Amino acid sequence: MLELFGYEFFRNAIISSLFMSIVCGIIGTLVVVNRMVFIAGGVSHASYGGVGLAFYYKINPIIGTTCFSLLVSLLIGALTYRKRKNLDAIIGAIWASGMAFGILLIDMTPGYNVDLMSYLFGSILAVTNGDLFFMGITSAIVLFVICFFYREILAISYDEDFAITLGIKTKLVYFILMALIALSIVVLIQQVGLILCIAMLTIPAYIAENFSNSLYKMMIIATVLCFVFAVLGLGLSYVLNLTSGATIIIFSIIALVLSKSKIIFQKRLNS
Amino acid sequence: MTDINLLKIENLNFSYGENKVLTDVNLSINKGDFISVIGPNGSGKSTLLKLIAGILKPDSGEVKFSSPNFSENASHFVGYVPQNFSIKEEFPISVLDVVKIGRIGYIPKFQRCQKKDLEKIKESLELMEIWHLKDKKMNELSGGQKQRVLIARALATEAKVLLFDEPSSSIDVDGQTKLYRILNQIKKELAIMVVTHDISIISNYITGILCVNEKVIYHTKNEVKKDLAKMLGEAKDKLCPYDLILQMVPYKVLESHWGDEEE
Repeated sequence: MLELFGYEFFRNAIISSLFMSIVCGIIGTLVVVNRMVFIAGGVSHASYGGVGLAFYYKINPIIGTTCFSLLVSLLIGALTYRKRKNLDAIIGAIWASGMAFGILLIDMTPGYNVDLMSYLFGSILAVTNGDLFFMGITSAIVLFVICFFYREILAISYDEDFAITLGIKTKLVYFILMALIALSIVVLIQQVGLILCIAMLTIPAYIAENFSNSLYKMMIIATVLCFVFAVLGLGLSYVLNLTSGATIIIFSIIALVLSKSKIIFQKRLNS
Repeated sequence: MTDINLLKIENLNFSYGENKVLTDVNLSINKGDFISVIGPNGSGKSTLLKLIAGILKPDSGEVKFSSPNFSENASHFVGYVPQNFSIKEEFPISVLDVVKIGRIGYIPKFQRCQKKDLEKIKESLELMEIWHLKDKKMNELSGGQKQRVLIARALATEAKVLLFDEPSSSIDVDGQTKLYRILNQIKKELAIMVVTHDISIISNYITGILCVNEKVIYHTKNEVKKDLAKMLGEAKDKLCPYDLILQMVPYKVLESHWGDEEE
């Protein structure tokens, strides 16, 4: 296994896994505690429109996806802020229309046969130095913004009404959070693809929730778990010649089932 | 002694869609007021508190706060204690961190809590007699303990007006008595409004009753005495004003208020 580190593609995969873990640990925690999984799912799938747009107008797919995801996240933010009525229907419509828009644009792109699978399931072993640079910048932005607004985000996530009485600009922070989700999704598309990025945003954080007594500890635990799953998944996918993104997810799912079983078993033992 | 006015509500109206909830509310709250807010389910009690706290915006009218100069900025002026069930059950947070939230705005960015913040947090937790629980996770506490943590968080904000949305819903009778005694001690420096369905215990401490049922009518202690004395003749000497109201709450008193002016 160690000989793998001699290959640049594998080293890049490990470094990109580290960036992915930082993003998933931090943003995934906020997605889980704020019950925004469906919203994140909507943004991630709708961002496929950005992929189509980038191919149609022949611009860099990362730039196209980033801009489109940011727009979609802000649109969803505007439609869902402090509104619960028809929330799932609105997100479902944006989810589907974004994907459809992307597919139609790719169909209309003349003489182009894009590898859709790499966007749906990721291509972690094909990460370039340029991708790494983009992912590093994105992770740094996420980390800085979360550190800057940590107290406000904590207050809003725990009790938004009370946060308003403290004078916190809850709408602004909500939109910032939506934008960070969009950026995180662009990072994740490289790694595990659109379909599986929700799993990476939620599973490590969901496991971490049981072992944390504060939001930042949950973020740290989720980050570590995500990195462990990514490295183990990469290793196993190499040995068994499997798709790396899907293998990482299966590892996460096994860990989730084991951790929840342990908790249920302990509760029964205690009672 | 002159009453020190803390907040004024002027011509306030609020509705959820087509459904009018509060109509033409005018109210003035002074330092030292300890007001019980009563009314039937759906009458607008919690909505009124949320409007005062700035959580909801009125359709028309204003809520003005004495500092600074009767503006509409409620930051740190109002401490809001929500109903227990509105808090996320599984959220990973300790008691100490919940109360620290009340100090946001006092602590500069990228800095830890200062000594004075920690002292205020400790004072709030000790007042609610839960300092020993400071390191516990919120989801390990009972309903009553959680309620006390939320009250400590509101106290930590150093707010001038404390708003409680049914604090008695998850506290037993002893707990309620203790809570209202504590609030009675601290009311000299601020104003307190408590939404409750049961005024049997709180009636010993309050200085006024706010009857809410779309319209809002405020009874001070003296007003209550005068009005009810007329109705009850000699019986007035045997009962305290709030006991008199208590016998008619919520049905008779509130029914008589529905859409009418005070008699």
